[in-house]
Amino acid sequence: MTDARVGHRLISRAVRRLVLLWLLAIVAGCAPRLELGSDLLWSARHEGGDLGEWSADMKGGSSADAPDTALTVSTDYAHSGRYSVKLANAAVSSAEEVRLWRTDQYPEAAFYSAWFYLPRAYQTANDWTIMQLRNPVPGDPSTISLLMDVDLRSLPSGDLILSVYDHRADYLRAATPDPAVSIPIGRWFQVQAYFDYSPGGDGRFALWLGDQLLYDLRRPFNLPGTVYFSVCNVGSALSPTDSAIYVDDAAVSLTRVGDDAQL
Amino acid sequence: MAAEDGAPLIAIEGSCPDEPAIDTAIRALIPRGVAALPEAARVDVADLGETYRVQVKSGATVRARLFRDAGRDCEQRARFAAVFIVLTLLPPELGGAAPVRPPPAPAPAPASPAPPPVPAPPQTELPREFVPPPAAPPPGPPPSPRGVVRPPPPAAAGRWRLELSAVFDAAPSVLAGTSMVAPGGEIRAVRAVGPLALTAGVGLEPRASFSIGGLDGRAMRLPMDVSVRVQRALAHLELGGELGLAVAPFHAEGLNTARPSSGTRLDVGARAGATVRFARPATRLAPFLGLHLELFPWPFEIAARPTGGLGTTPVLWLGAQAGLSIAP
Repeated sequence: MTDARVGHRLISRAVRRLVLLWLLAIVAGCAPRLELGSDLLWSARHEGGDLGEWSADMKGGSSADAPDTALTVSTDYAHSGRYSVKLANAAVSSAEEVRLWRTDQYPEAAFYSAWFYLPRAYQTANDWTIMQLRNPVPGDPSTISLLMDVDLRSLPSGDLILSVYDHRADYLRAATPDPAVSIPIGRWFQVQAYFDYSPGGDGRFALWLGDQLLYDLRRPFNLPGTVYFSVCNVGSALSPTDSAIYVDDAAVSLTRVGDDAQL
Repeated sequence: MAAEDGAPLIAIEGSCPDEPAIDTAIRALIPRGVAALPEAARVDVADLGETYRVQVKSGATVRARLFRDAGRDCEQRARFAAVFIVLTLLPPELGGAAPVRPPPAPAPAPASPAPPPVPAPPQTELPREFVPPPAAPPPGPPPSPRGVVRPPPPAAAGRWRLELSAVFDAAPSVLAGTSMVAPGGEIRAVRAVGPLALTAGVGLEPRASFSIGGLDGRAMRLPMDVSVRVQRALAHLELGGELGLAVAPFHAEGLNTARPSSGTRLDVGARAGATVRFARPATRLAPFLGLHLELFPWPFEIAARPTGGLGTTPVLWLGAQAGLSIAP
């Protein structure tokens, strides 16, 4: 056999083997995405159709004040998948609460976020709280004191905006951004807080509506280490009275949760 | 090499083979060397690139032979030329005179002269036991019935070589690909097939660091390729250019997340390279340098939760290698 034929056979054999290797690589289903880690400390997507993610490891749960509030896993609207949680509140005269909560020894600095959906606009007469960061009272862990509230407030135009309230006497209501940024109605929107409670004077509370930073409050917090994170519908005397807030894709993370985040 | 009247007995045109090599080869056949050859004889050796011609004139008789040697093994050329010269000028050792024949036309198809009935000697220096004693005819094929002498044919084509090298690969940040630097090593087998060579290489790059979108990570790569190489010998250098298919399994892991994880994927693409070997083709041990380029047009997305996609694995790798080429 001549050298040219030997070479041709060798080349053909090598090409056939390589094509087979390529086909094997394709068939083996090399996933196009390579996940190399996660900064998620906790998340709740509700795709199990229940609230198990909130109450896992006995570090959270839900509550609803009778008789005017209700909490249900719903398929009415979903930010991702099929399910979200509907927080309904029909309180009139005195504030009632319906909430989901999660507590843990979260790091001194972390991001707390959730997606909300308002099927219609409401007119507020009082504070209407949708997110809270709280902490147990030192010496009495069963008592959770109020700390930072994220509220919805009505503008004269009828738009709703986010407002931040610090329950400590030295701070109270934070100044509203100018121009005010209203939340969307009939569309999912993300509220995300960066909470740094490290000791000393370097604490920070920052709040985003989607990608837009609305509040950046630098003040000491000095918490003992346990953070209570809650999404809620706390209020009364809304117009119309029966309010419903849908919540989905809540998360606690070391890095900011983007619009297209995978929880 | 000159005759007593001052005219050259052996005239050399070119450098492969050269005068010292031919003189040494003749002396290996006949201890007296060139001095044992007829003074009136004239020998012309011409280096024609991939071929070389040996013409021997003795009286009115002219014999010539054109040999093909693409690999330009100059030492081998000198030995074949010496055998042809000696067999032509010392006919008593062959047992008869031969008629005058014009130089034959060069062989068109085969890469080397047709093999004789006897087994071909290896494509290396002739072992000492095959060198005939003085005044005895050298080993080789018996002369044809017409008296045309053919020197021993060269060894069959298809020489093996192993190339061991240190490798330094770098991936620039192209498109959304992360940049990486990956030092390592490589072993490559080369089999010459005529003017071409088939090469198969396997490398190991145990630690390639990268940083993308705030994620720090490291990867281990195992680049492999099968290529076709075109080789060209120039004086004391051998140049090579190659093109082939490449695959590179790699294992990557994230380092600075709350919950690090890792994964393994397979890059598939193509490789092109160039090498310079600092020796003649027949030299067994020689250093070489090389440059190469690898293209992987289907990169993988690198992601970390909750951010999602941060970028991709590298699309383009540029590398250099330095090492030793070993012929068994």
